[in-house]
Amino acid sequence: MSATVRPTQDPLWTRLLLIGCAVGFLALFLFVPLTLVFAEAFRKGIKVYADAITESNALSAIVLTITVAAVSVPLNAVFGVAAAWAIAKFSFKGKSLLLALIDLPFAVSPVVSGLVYVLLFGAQGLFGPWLRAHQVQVIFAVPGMVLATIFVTFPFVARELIPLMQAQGNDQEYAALSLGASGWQTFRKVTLPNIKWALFYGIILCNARAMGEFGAVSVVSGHIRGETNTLPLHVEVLYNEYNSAAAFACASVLSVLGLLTLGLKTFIEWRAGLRRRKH
Amino acid sequence: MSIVVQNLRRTFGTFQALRGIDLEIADHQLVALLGPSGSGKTTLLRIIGGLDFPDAGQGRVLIHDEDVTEKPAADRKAGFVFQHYALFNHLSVFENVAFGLEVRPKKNRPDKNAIRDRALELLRLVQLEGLEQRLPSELSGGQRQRVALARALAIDPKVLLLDEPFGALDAKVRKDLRRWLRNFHREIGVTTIFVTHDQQEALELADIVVVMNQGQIEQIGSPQQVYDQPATPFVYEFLGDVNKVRKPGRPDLFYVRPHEVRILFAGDSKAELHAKIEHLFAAGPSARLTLRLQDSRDTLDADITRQQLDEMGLSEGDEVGLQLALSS
Repeated sequence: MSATVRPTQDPLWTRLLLIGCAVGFLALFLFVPLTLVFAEAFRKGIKVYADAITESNALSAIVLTITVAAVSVPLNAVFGVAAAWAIAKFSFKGKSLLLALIDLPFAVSPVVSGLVYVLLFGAQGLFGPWLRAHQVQVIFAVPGMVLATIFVTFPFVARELIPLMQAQGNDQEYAALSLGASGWQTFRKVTLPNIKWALFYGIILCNARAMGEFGAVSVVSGHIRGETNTLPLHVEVLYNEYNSAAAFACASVLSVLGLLTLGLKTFIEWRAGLRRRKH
Repeated sequence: MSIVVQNLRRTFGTFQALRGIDLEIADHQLVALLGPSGSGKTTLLRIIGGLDFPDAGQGRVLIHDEDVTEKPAADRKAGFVFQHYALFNHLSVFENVAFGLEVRPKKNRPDKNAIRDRALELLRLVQLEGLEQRLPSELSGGQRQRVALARALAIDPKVLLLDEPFGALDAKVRKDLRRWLRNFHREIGVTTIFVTHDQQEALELADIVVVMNQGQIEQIGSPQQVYDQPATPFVYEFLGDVNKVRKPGRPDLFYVRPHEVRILFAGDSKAELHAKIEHLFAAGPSARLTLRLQDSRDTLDADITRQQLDEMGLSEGDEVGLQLALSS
């Protein structure tokens, strides 16, 4: 530590107290629980752990979770880019309404959005008779879970892109157009490279939420074991059956998926920072 | 005619950005659109380039005698250069310049070698050879603007449209680039319109100056015409320094430029007005005096030569007589 006192430097004890508070808080509420998940998962040994996550219902939950994410994340990436493009690059009537609608899933409890889908597509719902007549099952089936997940995770990509695209303005797109590029060429060669990192970042956040979503999916899934249970739902079922070793084992799989996401996000931030410094 | 604009109107909400613009620009000219911010000059340029459109049915734009009013920017072959360059940051200088050729439909796209030759030739033309592999972020402001110019020229534009091309540059670079653009335009001969709010820039660079104010054209003429024979009070005030003076006993306002004020000794019988030197600033070959008139409380500026200043031995606080070469 240098001897000169910087004007913004607080006394040593203040700094220690503040840092101590922050670290203590993080340890108590984040690190300890996360470690406990893994400790609990492995408490009865590796064999029990392996059985718990390779058991057929667990496997089908993992597959279902990935399926739901694999459908809803790409769709939301496309919707998000389209919405951000419209909001950032054009002015039109009802723009602030659209912005508010994009935020709606953040504002509304996921359980409520799940219930709305039941009201729309359930057997007694608005489209229920029509769906039954055409033998399409939405609620208590995969389509409903995908719909609920899309709704809940819709804002992530759009929210990430809008401020960036607004800050970048339209000049580069206009330049491309005046050079004879078509709309699609302009998007692919100019807009997309400019938003690439923010888009990745939004997709990762969207994916994390899609795999972890509980509330909305829980309402529309019907909890049919081995069929409509995603990993978070499967964990709850196991836990309610006092099968805590298996519950924690599956929870640890979710945690690993989360940590991977976090690692990927950090990597992308680092890459994006590297590029910004270069520019 | 290279560019013709007829009765063009453009409204943003309740704001009338352009209120009936008529303009004809002959081939090979370098034209300045000059005006204060909000005068509509950039809007006019963008409409000519197809980056904005007039109110429905309100006016026409013709480029090389072809009506392009409804055409999108991509079909106009108008090279556009932006104030903040708008270079593609993720592409190299070379790729930026080649962009306009690369995006052509396959059937009339030149082959790879031809594109390469053309891009390198253009970079040579704007004196940036050897920098083709750099990213735009690795260039200075002046270099970036020249890349933007080369990029716009790659499509063999019928006209070049420059929106405040020197606006983001510092004074020194601005001056150099201004001179460079003058010669460059002479060399390539493409009809060029540039937007500026800097009267010095417009007068020094352009063949024709179009002075705009509040969505209308105030005057069109050569730099000398608009400076020496301003058509409206606005042009008078906007172009160059001007004093507004009321002579004793006469109600009307006169415009007089600082160099048109003659300074006499206080006792001189030819003096029309009497004033006191409030401030004196001498640098270079001329001196600027700020004078407070005795009869009214108005001030006016006068430019005199250093020689006259020394010969008359003037200093702040002195009383002097004035003679105005009034151009009413």
